[in-house]
Amino acid sequence: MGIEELLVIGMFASFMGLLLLGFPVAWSLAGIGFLFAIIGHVMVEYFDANLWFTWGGTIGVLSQRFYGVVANELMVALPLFIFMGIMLDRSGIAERLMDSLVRVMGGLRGGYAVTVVIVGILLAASTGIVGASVVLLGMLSIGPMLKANYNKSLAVGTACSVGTLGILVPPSIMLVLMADRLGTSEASVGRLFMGALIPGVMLGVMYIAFIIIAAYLKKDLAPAPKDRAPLNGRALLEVLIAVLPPMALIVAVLGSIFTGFATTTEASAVGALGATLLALSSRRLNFNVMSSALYQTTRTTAFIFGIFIGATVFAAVLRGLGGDDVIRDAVTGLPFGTAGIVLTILFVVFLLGFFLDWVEITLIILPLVAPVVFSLGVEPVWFAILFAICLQTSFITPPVGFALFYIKGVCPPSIQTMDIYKGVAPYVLLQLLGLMLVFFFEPLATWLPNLVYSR
Amino acid sequence: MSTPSQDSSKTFPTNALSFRLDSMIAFTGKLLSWLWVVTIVVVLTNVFSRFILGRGSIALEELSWHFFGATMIMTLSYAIVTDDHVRVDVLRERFSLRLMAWVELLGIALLMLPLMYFITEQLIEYAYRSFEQGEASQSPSGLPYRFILKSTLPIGMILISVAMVSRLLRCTTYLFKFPREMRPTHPTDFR
Repeated sequence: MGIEELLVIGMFASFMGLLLLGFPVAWSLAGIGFLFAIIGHVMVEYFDANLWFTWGGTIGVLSQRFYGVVANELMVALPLFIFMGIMLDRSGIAERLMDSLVRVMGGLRGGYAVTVVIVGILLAASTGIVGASVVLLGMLSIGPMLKANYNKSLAVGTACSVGTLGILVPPSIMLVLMADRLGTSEASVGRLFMGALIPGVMLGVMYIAFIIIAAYLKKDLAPAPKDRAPLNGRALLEVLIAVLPPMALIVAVLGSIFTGFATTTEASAVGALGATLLALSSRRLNFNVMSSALYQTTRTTAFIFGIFIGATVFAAVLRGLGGDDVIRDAVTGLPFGTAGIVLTILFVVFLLGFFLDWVEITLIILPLVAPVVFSLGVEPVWFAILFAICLQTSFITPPVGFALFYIKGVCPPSIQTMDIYKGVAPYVLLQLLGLMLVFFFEPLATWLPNLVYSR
Repeated sequence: MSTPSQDSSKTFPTNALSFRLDSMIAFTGKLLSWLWVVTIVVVLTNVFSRFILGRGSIALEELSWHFFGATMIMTLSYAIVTDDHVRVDVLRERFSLRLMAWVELLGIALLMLPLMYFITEQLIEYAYRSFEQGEASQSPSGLPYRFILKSTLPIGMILISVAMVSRLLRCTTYLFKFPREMRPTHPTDFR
């Protein structure tokens, strides 16, 4: 094993070590990068190590790299989408959607859970931070589902799994960040949004199908309520009134990107304005709501870009130590074909998703493996969407998936951890099925982007 | 799992200096947050002028990412003060507050502050060079004075360093009772 391999492994290992000590992720990345720059420098200068490393070429170029993060037109969309999500959350749209849809669907067996899936997909335009949408859906839906005598596991599992769809269904800030890191026009934000649309909706439909079938087969799983208000024209009208504003917002934002009418950044500003107007129209907007939404936008943006800046230091030093070549050799040296290599990467991402957030994985792992995979002739959009579904799946996979901890935080105390595990299990299987479908039927991810962008 | 830490029983006590520094940074962060509204307005103005008046403005487009970049880099410190970090909590949950303080103290003192020194020095030079050369946008109708945006980078880094020093002092307050602990006059989560 050469000195480069040792240093690269050392870098990742000490990064993991510092992380496990509870040091902030962003700081660990920057700190370990710095530490290994010193190690590399000392080895070259004082021990004549056979290493192509220069201080000036790594730590010395950080100012340009940092400026590249700051002066980035694409990234403007990120805080604006975050603001849009937070504003939607505060506007009370979610509650109204839930209430009115339940009146229509609630009569069915499993109707409440189906409503949760629909609301979840509509709200997927929310923050895109896994925790936020899971917590929101959990708070909104678990209580009422339990009151309707739903099976505990089904109620929790549904809320938890649907919440994670938010990072996949566009406009998702994860896809914006991925497009930036992939850095190829073949996987632009617009293409990724469109590529994720069919798989995202497909997963939602699979969820709904599962709920309806399961509720039909097992009668006490999700019983229909006995005393429900009769369905009449008025109720249907109310559903329309509740569904229309968020639908209009989603159509405006996604539609303007898909038709080429506006750039992603412009669409995000339109979305931010739209969400603010929705809050205004439901009389929820005042100075406190506005300022706290802005402060939260800042903190969420800062936590993502803190990691971005940290990863910039880490990546500069990793590259300086020859890390890119080491990774390329490791990936291409796998004794499989292209498909096997993609599957191996997805498996590693799945494992990493247990204890790293999508931000870190997208910023560190994706730019390392993507160029290698693309050079093997893999379709960029397809790979990115697989990557995204895989991350999302690992978030709901017991025992350490992320979303499980978030949902535990908003569950009534009567729900045990085991109930949550049982509840998400079928959804994990559905996710894996969805992943396999996209893996074997590439057009699920690539058909729509090719259709729209071939003009 | 990693989450922004929220458990208030597991925070370090504050002291007079840290409390002032934290308040200052939180105030700056909150004030700058309003620039998101400006960013939205700038982007919307550009959309408006493109579709109503028939042409977009390169200067406005550049202005939007100037606002974004400046706001983003100068508010990173705010998330340090509110402790909105992502951390891996698997082991940390079982750590004593003492061990956490030691990890934080050594990490900041040995790794982060020296790094911040190198980077800040470099970024100041970077911004100054831009000023000296009168660097402007590469497109003819773009914005002049690129050094203004470039100056926000060292400012952001200095704010981060201040937030780190404040955090370091809170660790020493807990570990060595220096500086003396202080009962804060208002909540210290600064949200």
